[in-house]
Amino acid sequence: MFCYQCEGTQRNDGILGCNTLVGNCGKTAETADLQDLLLYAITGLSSYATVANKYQISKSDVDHLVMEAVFSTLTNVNFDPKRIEDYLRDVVKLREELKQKILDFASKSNTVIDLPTYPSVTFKPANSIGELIDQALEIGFDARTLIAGEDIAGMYGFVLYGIKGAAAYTNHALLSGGNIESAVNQLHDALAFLAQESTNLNDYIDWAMKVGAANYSAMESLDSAHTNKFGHPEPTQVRISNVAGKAILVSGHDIHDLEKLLQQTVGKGINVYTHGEMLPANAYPELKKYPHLVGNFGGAWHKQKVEFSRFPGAVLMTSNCLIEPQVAYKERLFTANAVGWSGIPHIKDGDYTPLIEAALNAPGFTSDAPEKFITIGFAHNTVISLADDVVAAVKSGAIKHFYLVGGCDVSTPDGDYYGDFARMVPKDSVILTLGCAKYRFNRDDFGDINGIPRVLDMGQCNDAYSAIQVALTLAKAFDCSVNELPLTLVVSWFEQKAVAIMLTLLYLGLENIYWGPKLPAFATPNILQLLESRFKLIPISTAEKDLARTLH
Amino acid sequence: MSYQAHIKDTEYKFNLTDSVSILESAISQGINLPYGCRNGDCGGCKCNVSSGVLIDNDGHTIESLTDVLLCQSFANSDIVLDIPGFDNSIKIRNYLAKIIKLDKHNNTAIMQIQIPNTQTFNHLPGQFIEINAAGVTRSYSIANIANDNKIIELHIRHYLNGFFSSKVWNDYKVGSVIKFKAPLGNFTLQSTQNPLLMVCTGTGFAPINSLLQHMLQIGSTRSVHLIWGNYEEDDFYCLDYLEQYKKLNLKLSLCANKVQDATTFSSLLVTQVISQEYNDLSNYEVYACGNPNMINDIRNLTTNELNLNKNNFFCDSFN
Ligand code: SF4
Ligand code: SF4
Ligand code: FES
Repeated sequence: MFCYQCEGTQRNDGILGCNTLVGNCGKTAETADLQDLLLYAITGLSSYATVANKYQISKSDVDHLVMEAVFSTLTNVNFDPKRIEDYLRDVVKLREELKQKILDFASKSNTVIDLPTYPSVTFKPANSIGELIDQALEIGFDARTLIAGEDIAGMYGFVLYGIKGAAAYTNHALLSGGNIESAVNQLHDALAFLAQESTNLNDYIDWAMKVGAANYSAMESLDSAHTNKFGHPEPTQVRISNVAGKAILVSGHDIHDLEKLLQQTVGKGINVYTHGEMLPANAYPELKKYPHLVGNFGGAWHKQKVEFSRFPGAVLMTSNCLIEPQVAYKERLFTANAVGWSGIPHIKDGDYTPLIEAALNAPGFTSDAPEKFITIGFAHNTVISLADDVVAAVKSGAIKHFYLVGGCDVSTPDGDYYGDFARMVPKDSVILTLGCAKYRFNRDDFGDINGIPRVLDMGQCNDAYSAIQVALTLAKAFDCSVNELPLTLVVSWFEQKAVAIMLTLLYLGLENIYWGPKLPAFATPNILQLLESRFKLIPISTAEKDLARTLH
Repeated sequence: MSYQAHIKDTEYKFNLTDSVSILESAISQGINLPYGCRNGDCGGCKCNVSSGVLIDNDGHTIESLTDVLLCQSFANSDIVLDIPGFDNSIKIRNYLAKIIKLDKHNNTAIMQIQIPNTQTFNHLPGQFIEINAAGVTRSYSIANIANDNKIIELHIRHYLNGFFSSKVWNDYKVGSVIKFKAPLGNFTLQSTQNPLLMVCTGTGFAPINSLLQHMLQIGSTRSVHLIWGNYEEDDFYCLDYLEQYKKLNLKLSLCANKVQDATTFSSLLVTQVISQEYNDLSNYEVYACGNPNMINDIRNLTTNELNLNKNNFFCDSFN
């Protein structure tokens, strides 16, 4: 195996990347190799999908499968080799069907259609797992590094991981009933580009920007899917202390799962709590209306071993970030969508009965804990409605600077940087936050400026879309470019959704973004140099130094 | 039926069935038993079985449990294998590597391959790799110590119509990528202070060179007599490597069938050198690498006539 897609990758022995029998996240070599092969097969299927799109040949089955299957290869999503193998075989099957559809179309319409000829288009998966793993070796990062060099392999990774993040958002949007057509077709194009195994660095830089654009579309469609279905988030006090009674904890990003579950638990005497990236769901009117959505339990994903163990009910993981289930809660943990772990029951077709039964069989909370709340719900609609106040506060000098401090939280103390940074920000500045990195500081009281809270929780990592809308609105109000705003982005990354967001920010031309905690292992010294010189990206140092630099 | 194998004096166990050879069962379960051809030809998988019932390809019970060819044997009960010094700490897996050097010295190619920066590579001196070219596998010993810089040196003799050697001579060039499985084999140096007799023919020098490199690295003071045989003087290659081994307590005999330079080469057979110079090898370890006939001759000579303890005979044979 070789995997270096996340921040938590192995950095030992002069090697950057997980390359032993299991990755640092618990992904086995078998699963990692099968995921490489799955992605390879997907580049073949997407190559046909780009052709189908050109001739408007229907392919929604392909779109859905590709988005979900790509999502399954993100960090901390699917650890089950059997599920990955199933995706692989489905991808190859749909590839052949789509090819046939295209050929039929060509003959019926008397059109000459050039079919792609990349090797992944004709790839045939072997029969046994052992042989599949053998096949994986020849198409993975080892081969790419040997043939094309570390820089090309690294940029291939950059583009691929950006695609993964964007595909995950597209998959979320799809599940919430969004219109994913534009994002999906841009992603097929990018996957078809990867099928070419270009050895030209500039090609990859161009495509990295295109993936940034694709991810912008993906976040946009996810935002409209959420707001169309659940209304615009509104400032909300979320209870973060437990309530007596049977309980279900919902983690991950898929808000539509939460809605279905809330519907299926009406009148069952079960309280539903959000966890991790599900926290922002509490601010949507169409979800808030369920009284048994009682609040949030716990913090960022990496604390789940302790938090799930202590939670006296059933737990549902709707998306990343799953870590190795512990004996203490294995029996009451469930996965949904692209998520998987061998032996953990998987919810199919939106039927939560087994989860509900597990919750009813678990003890639940025996008493109410003292009430404690945090405030969330500052997505673009709310913040933009405050724009006049904000602009006035800036003009009067009451607000001097905006910081966006957020992204993915990491499992190591390196993530303290973001909490420290937020707490050091001067009192005349406002902090926008999103993603699970906010758990590093969101229980602190930051106060307000002229009634505008100093910390505005914009939502999930994909709500970077909200942050962008706010920045664009402010730029318009001040008649300047976004880069000229008194705004600094201090971004934490952990996995591939954050890579996609970074590509979107770079695609939009944002400069001087602080990025950490550790820079990606796939960013070779040459790639890093490019990021710093061309995109003015700044690797984080210490909170003191970086903050001072933004205030000079 | 399924049974279990246990490697004596170790914690290693693996599962067996009566339809898969003991060797294949071990390899598929990550147990790094020594082997070569897997066809019953090379003797590389020979092993003593301390207890158990074994059957052959035809289902007949194998009478003698000494020097059993594990690639040709199946279990008919639980078994115990006796492999002194067995070490399975390094995992066997597939790698890709790029050819970074390909020099030809007469009929021997010195090929260096480099593993990508994405991988670590660990092996024991004396082990081999199994190259897979278009589904055909060929084993080659690692001629150096590749743990630090991930560069593996292989010595490849040219054979007329040899599948892999003709690839090396005609197709491969610097930059070509090859696939191999590694590390394999148990032809590794025991950590004793016994004097050493190392005997090789042809490119059997490769693993011996790795063992000698290792001895240099650890500053070994063991006495070692290297006897290297070839058909012709021109078949010797990398003689310059031997310079560095002067730091070791080394005696050298280079044997060739046709000798012109009698100060450097002897015209004796390697076995003749042994019989001439030794009459008792009871405190020795013998490491032999080369063609199976030579290995058999040396095994017979040293263990039957020169009192060598059977367990102190280590070999790596190839065709
Ligand atoms: S996802 Fe991260 S931790 Fe897991 S194997 Fe890949 S790089 Fe390693
Ligand atoms: S913000 Fe990133 S790390 Fe956190 S839960 Fe979302 S995807 Fe995982
Ligand atoms: S491996 Fe058994 S004889 Fe060669």
